[in-house]
Amino acid sequence: MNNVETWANVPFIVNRGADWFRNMGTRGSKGTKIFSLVGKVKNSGLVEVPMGITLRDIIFKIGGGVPKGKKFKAVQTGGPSGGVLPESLLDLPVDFDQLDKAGSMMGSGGMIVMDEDTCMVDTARYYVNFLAHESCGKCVPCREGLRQMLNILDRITAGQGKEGDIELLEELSEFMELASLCALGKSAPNPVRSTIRYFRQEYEAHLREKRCPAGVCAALIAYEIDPEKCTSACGTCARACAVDVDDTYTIVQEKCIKCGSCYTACPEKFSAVVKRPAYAVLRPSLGAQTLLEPERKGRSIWNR
Amino acid sequence: MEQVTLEINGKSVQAPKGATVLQAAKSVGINIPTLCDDDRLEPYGACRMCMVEIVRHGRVRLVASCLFRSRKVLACRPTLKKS
Repeated sequence: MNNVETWANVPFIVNRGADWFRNMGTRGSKGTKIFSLVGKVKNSGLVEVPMGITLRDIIFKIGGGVPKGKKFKAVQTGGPSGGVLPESLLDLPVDFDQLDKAGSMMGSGGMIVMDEDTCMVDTARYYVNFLAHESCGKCVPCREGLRQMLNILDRITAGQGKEGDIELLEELSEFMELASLCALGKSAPNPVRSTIRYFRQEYEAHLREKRCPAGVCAALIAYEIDPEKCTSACGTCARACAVDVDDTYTIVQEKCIKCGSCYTACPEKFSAVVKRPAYAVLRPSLGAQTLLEPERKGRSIWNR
Repeated sequence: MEQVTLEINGKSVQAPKGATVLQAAKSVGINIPTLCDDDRLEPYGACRMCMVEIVRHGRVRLVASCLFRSRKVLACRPTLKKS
C-alpha cells in the first residue's frame, strides 16, 4: 500500500472502528473518497464525499454549478485515461463499479466539469495527445494505436474527417483494450470511447457537416463582427488582434488565424464578435481547401 | 523431462513443462503469427502479434503466446478473432 489517500484512512478506521467506516458508502465501495473538483464549477478544490453520492450533488450542491449561467455539458473523471460522462448520468451514484460501468473510472479522483463551450472531439484529442506522449512504446497496440487515434482525431478536428473514422476509432479502441501490455494502453481508449458513446452526434457534425457545435475547433469556425451589435466601434478588438485587422471593423478572413483574441476582448455589453461555422463565412474567392487546411504546429510527437 | 498437455485449437499437444504456448504450437505445426519473436533473443512480448486466447478456470484471457508458459492443461485459441 503506497497511496496517501488510503493511508490517511487508516488512523480513522483504527480509532473509530471498521463498522463506522463501512457504514458509509455503497455495496462495493466503502467509506469516503476525495475528489479534485475542477473545471467549469463555481467552487473548485478538493472535496471529500461519501461513496455513492451522485455526480449532481458533487457538481451542483458542493461545486455550486457551472459559472456564468452556462449549461453543464459533461464531467470527466479519473484523469487522462478516464472517461467523459454526460448530463443524463448526473444522477449516477459515484463509486468504483458505477463509474466503470458508465465507461469511466475512479482513477486519480479527478473531476473536470465541462460546460457547453467544450468540444468533445477536441477533448478526446487532448487526452489522446497526452497519452501518446505517455506511452512507453514497448508494445504495438498502445504505441501505434494512440498514434493512429491522434492522427484521426487531428484530422476530424481539422475538418478533414472521413466517413468511417468513428468506426475505425471504435475498432482501434477495442483492439487496444484487449491486446495492450499494461493498464496504460488498456485504458487509453477510454476518453475516445466515452466521447463516442455519449457524444457521437458531435463527431458526426465534425465529419459530415464540417461543423464544431461547441465552436472550439479553429478550422471549423470563423469570427465575424456583427455590425448591429457593434454600436460604439471602440476598436478594442482591433487592438487585441494578433494579425492586421481592417480598421473598418470587419475581420479579414484571409488573414485571420482564429486565435479568438477579438472574441475575448470585445466588451461583454456589446458581444459583437461572433463565432460562426467556417462554411457560413467562407468566401467564394477563398475556396474550401484553404479554410480547411489542417493545422500542423509541430505536432509530430515522435520527434521529441 | 516432465510433460504437460495443452489443448490448442481443440488438438491435444504434449510439450515439456515450461515451454511457451508458441513453442508448443510450433512443435505440432500450428502456426501463430509473430513479429518480435526471434530465436536469438529472449522473448519480449512487445509486438502482441502472437496473442492467443487461453481458458483457465473457465475464464478466457488474452496473452502473448511467446511469453506464456504452459503449466497445466490449458485450452488455447489463437489470435484476436471478432466474435
